[in-house]
Amino acid sequence: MTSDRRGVPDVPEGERQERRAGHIDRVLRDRAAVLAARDDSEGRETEELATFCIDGYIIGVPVGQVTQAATLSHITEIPGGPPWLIGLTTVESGLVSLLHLPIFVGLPRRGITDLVATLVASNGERSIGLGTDQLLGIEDVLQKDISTMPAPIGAITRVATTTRNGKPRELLLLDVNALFSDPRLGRERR
Amino acid sequence: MDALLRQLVHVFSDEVNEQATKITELLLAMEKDPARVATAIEELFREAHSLKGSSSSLAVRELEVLAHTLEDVLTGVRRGQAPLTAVLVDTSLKAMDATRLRAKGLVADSTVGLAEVETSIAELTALLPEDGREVAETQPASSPSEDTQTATVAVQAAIPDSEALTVRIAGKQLVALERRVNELRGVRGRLDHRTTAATLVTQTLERLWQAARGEAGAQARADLLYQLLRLAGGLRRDLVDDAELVQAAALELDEDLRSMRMVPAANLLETLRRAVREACRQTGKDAALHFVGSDTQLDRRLLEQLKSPLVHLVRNAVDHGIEPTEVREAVSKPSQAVVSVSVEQRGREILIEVRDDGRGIDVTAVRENAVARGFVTESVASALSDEAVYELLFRSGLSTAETVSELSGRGVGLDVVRDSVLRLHGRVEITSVPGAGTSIHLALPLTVAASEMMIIEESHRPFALPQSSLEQILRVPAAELYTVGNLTHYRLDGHPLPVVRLAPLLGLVERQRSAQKRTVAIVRAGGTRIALICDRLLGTRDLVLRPLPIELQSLPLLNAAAILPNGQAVFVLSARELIVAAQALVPVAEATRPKDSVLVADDSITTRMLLRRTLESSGFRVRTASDGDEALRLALAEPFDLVLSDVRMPRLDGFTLTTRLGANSRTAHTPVVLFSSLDSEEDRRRGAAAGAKAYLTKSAFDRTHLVDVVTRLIRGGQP
Repeated sequence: MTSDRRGVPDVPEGERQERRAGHIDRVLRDRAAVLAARDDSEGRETEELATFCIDGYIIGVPVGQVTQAATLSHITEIPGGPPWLIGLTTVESGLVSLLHLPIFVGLPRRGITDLVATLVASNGERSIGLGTDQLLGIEDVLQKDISTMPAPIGAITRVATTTRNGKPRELLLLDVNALFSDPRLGRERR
Repeated sequence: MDALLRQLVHVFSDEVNEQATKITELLLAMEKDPARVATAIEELFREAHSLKGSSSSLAVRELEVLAHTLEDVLTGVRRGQAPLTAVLVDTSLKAMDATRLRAKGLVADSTVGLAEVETSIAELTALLPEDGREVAETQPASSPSEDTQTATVAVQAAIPDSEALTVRIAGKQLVALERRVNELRGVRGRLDHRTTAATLVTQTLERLWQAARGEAGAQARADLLYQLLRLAGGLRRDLVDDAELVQAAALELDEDLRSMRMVPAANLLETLRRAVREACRQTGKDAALHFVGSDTQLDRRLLEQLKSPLVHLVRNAVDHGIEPTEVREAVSKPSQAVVSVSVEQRGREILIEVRDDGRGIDVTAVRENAVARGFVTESVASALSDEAVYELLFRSGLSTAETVSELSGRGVGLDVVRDSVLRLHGRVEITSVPGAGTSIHLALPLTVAASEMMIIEESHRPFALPQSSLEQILRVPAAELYTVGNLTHYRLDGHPLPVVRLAPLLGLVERQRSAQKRTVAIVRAGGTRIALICDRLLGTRDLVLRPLPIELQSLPLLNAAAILPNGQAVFVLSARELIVAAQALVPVAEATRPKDSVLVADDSITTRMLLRRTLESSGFRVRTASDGDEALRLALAEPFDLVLSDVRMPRLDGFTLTTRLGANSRTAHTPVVLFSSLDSEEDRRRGAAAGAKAYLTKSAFDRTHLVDVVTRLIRGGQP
């Protein structure tokens, strides 16, 4: 066996790859064990949510169902469109409709929105832009803080009560699959 | 599926399709001209052998057996021992259809086409003489053969130089390349936009520099400005150079890509020949297909989408257009009719004509049919020109056939043909000469990748109209628009055209027009024309059309969407649906009472849109400004009945705007309403001190209340 310039014995490439893979496996196993122990012992299972604010409401969408976030530069109004569709906009060379979620699900109005950005939600088959007054970020919300709403408001099916800056707040969770199953969002016509 | 097959399945499928197409063409050629059998049958055997070989090498046994059986069935013809009968041709053609279907199934990794292939093998086997069936049922030899070695040598000997090399490109790679071109096109547009902005910066700096030079003791500032000006000028020149480079690259790439997408029109030939043949078989008529322009290059996607409408048209020609042989002979026409299809490129359009030498359209019968089906009244029908009668044929449910035939006389067809053509942003027309035949003329854009659009503006919003549906654009003096009853008309080339405004068709509130001339677009679809009044034209653009998101597909007036060079989305309007909507709309006379006008100032686009929608839907005419400075300029340039303004805005805030409006004699009497998210007592007090008549807060926004306040203030009342 030869050695390299650092004096480390040369290991055949195949063997080196196996060792590297073994190392990664070990790291992942250790991390899984730590997470599992923590979750079991402290009830700290979390759900990762992309959160935003619109019309005074704070909404969370599972991160896995968000494909893009973008600031809005142009909104094209939709002639003859329903009131819950704010317009059409471009996000990374693609076109998406902008949905006003509170109007769509029928949440009571809390003043006026000032759209600045969109979160693009997708169920893997189709996408829609959610209009936002402010993108808040990605948050890990404890499962124990999330509860199913006894009477869902459209596609808002769960709610989380969390604290931010020491103040309690209510986070409404959007069910993206329920959103796309709403017949008002249509089926393919042509 | 075998791992190797999975890797090669697309290539294999293409090859199988080509082989099946070639075999089909050869069968049809031999049937049409028996003198060609001797040479064509050899070629057919070569193709069948190749099909068998490639299927064998990828272990697609069903196609291997089918090809082998086809060879067996045609062996008698090859040896001159049996004639090429119609049954033999039919069964072989069906086998090729099954082959193509199976190729599709293999690509989709499904069993699609398997049953059809098995049925075809059984049907071909049934045509074999008793002693030949055993051969077909045994597995064909798959050992390395002499042919394989020959083929390898041939490939090596025939390796062309790189320029002549033909390579297969997977569809998704082509799509990815197209996406890149589209992105490049977008970048090109944005660069144009930025170059304009850079020019403005340079011009502004130059003015500043000129001003600074004249001030005493300002030499140092002027020097700095001069340096800045030089930098900005250099930047602008670089931008212009880059924009030109990107433009040249995009154009070249676009052209290369377009040529890669092009296929000769001859690809339609086999499909159309079969359609004519089958139609003749079913109707007992005799017709030949003449195809002109087989070298014309067509966009592959255009060709795919045209196949079905063209098949329908040639079948229609045989079924409805041409007369039975005995009738033709009685009127001294050749017993064999001719259905001709010609394809040619003219400018940026592909023109296709499907013509028959049959009896022509019986306009009287169509009129009666239309009346019987309630499409038109008897009096209207009798007043229709021949051209208008032909247009009726594009309506669903109306047919030229005197009797409903199994083939194409169910009244379903021409409307579908027209829909297909309109979807491609083309147009279709009929001409006919009694006793001499009928022609259907299709005009389509050269490519379906990017379409030439006219961008128009209506009520401050841009819209796109396909150039192909625009007959002409005119600036018409308002005095030349005249009203008959409650319909506005314009006389074009001696014919009165109904005139409608675009805004009400789209549910928008129209701008008040003070100009003496109107911008009028003459829009045509399916032979009907209307004159559309819009605010102004923004020019033509090649735009990549994108399908509408599903949630917008139920809106009939919107056909597609595209992205303008500045990044804004624009809707492509459907000319046909605009005409339908216009026909249903009673046009509003040009002279109507001016609407109350409101100037909305807010730096938030959402708020501007919300306020505009709210006010427009209540009948107000609305102009918007994105800050106080713009609002002040607008208010001084044209009269408004009310100004509705935000407080916190760039350049000029709402308080200052209110004060300045009050200080100017032209705007002193215009009521101002402040609309803000600031809702402290101090803010309200400052608003009142500046002269605002009302102070509304965004957090307590209520549409009804807003409209109520605005209406009362305009009427001179209190908020």
